[in-house]
Amino acid sequence: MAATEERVADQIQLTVDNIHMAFGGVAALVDVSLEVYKGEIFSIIGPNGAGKTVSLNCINGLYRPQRGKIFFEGQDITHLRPYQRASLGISRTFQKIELFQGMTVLDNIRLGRHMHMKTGLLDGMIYLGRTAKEEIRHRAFIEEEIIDLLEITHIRNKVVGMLPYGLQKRVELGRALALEPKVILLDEPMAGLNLEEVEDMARFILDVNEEKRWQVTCVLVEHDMGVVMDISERVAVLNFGEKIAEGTPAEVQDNPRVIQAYLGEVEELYVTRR
Amino acid sequence: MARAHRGPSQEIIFTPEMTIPKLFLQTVKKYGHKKVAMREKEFGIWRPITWQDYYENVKALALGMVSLGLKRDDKVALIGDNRPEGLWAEMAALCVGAQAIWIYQDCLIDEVQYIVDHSDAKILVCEGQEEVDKALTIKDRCPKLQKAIWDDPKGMRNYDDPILIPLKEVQALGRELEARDPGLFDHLVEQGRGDDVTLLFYTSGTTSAPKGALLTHSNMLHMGKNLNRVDPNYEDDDFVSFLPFAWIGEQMMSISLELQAGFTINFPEEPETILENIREIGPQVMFSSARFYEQMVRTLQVKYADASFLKKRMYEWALDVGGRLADLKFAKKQAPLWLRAAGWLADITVHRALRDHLGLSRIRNAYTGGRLWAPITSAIFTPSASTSSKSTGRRRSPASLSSIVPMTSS
Repeated sequence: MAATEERVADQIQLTVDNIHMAFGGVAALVDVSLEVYKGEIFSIIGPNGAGKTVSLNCINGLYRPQRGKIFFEGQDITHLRPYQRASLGISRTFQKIELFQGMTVLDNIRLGRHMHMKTGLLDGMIYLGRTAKEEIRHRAFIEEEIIDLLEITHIRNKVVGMLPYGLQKRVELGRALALEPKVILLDEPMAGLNLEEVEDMARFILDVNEEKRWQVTCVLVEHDMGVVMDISERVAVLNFGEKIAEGTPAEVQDNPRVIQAYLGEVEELYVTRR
Repeated sequence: MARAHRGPSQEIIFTPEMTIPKLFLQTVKKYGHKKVAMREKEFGIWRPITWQDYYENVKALALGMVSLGLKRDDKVALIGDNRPEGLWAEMAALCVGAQAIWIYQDCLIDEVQYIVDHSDAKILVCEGQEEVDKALTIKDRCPKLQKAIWDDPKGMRNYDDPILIPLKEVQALGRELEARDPGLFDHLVEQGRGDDVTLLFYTSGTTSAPKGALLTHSNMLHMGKNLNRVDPNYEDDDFVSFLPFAWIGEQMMSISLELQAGFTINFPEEPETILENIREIGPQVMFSSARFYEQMVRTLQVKYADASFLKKRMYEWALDVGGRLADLKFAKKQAPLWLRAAGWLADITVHRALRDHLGLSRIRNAYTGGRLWAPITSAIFTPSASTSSKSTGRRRSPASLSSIVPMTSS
């Protein structure tokens, strides 16, 4: 893609340094190191149980690895709580939708912005003036930058639980974007979507990654190889908690260890969608 | 410049010189910043555009198109959803004296290519990425096409084809030209005559390749005039524009009738939000395909089927009362007092809520045309309308009223 070359490609934004994570006797991650450059789409792939979601959970702070360190923009964030990491600009979506099912689309997205709210409970009780202005400013941001981008204008006031799965996935991306993140961790954004929804989602990810307004670094965990190979700049492959390969999509596809461990045969690489 | 006068019946009298752009300038003069010409729902808010704003945008765009090389009798093709920019671009083309051709927004690439090439279009006005993609695909097969103008920047970051130019840049070119030659716009508008061809409508092409039908300024203006004569429209009316501009009916409402009645056009946020947006606006005038009304009825029937026993009986009773009232009304007979009382009760309990849910709470005239609708549609709408004090409860097909246009001017 043309925009790729213009980017600041050599700046490391997120470093995962030799992390080790075990649940009882099961090692989920064994000395995994990853480096994510600013502005890229970095994918983590691997068979089921390889440790992909665990690694996202470690970056995001839901899990705390037993060994190893995580750096974000040069700062050691290994001991920060998830909300502290969020305030630094790390946002995520979940494999199984984790929205508030009884709330509207707009309220769910608004929730993603609470990090940016400066006024508190007392201000909220008075509301007029400062709080009202702040709310209008946030609403404008949500409408102009998120709802319009994700094409969810027609459902903004619908209750999330009533929406089809594909739209819920989009709302979840919307909520993650409301944080105005620097890095977004996407855990299987395509899972359960039909072909058209997958194409839309891929387009949204590219928009968020490339559009001047956003330029968010994306860390993508995904099983849909068609999408992964099409949109990622670099791919890391995990297998039983170990990183077995890393490189451009083409390099990874040609790597015999990857083929053997994960993909079975080369032909099956594109079997998921094509 | 020939002037149109408001006759004693408040009807615009047309001279053979009268054109759509001339009437446009008159209407702008009349309302200026005092009245809202159109609204668009954008980012969740209805944003007003006054007649003066409408004029400024059209002027800049028209002169911008002149800077791009557009001349009298050139053709401008337009494609995209209903939106203010689309109407500005059309009006701008007409002001230059060019002819406008609207293409249905869901046309396939081959169809777009055929119409653009066959009509000799020099400029194609696109909406966003989707239309621009079509333009780029066909440009090599349409040698007469010189520029493609677009206005929605979403997803356009990597497009650098020299044929493309954003609408804002065209308007900037227009403002430069305006600074160099201030009288040019008025001069261009004055050159038009009533019997100049102004719009091309392509047939659906069911029997062979689509054919372009030519409509003159007089054709278009008389359509609106005749419709206004049968059912007057007022300047504080609201109208929701959601049917394709490529359809003659929408042109009649949004161009011809809009300029004569001066009502406000409202553009929905997205095609998916039309029904919701209609309800928010509550238009007095509606002109839509039979299919659209049938869809409303279907929604109603589904809800009815799901309703509780009591609600169902209430609805049936209200429908019956309304039906009797409607029959008497059509027979021009006075309804007995008890029936009128029942009608009032049916209105406040059922019909008013129904009309509100369908966005018809303020409706005065609802038109359809093109084909007949399923009888059930009138069986449901007329009773509801009969209990209302506002609407006439009649069904009209303007296709037979005003689309066949007399060439005489009164």
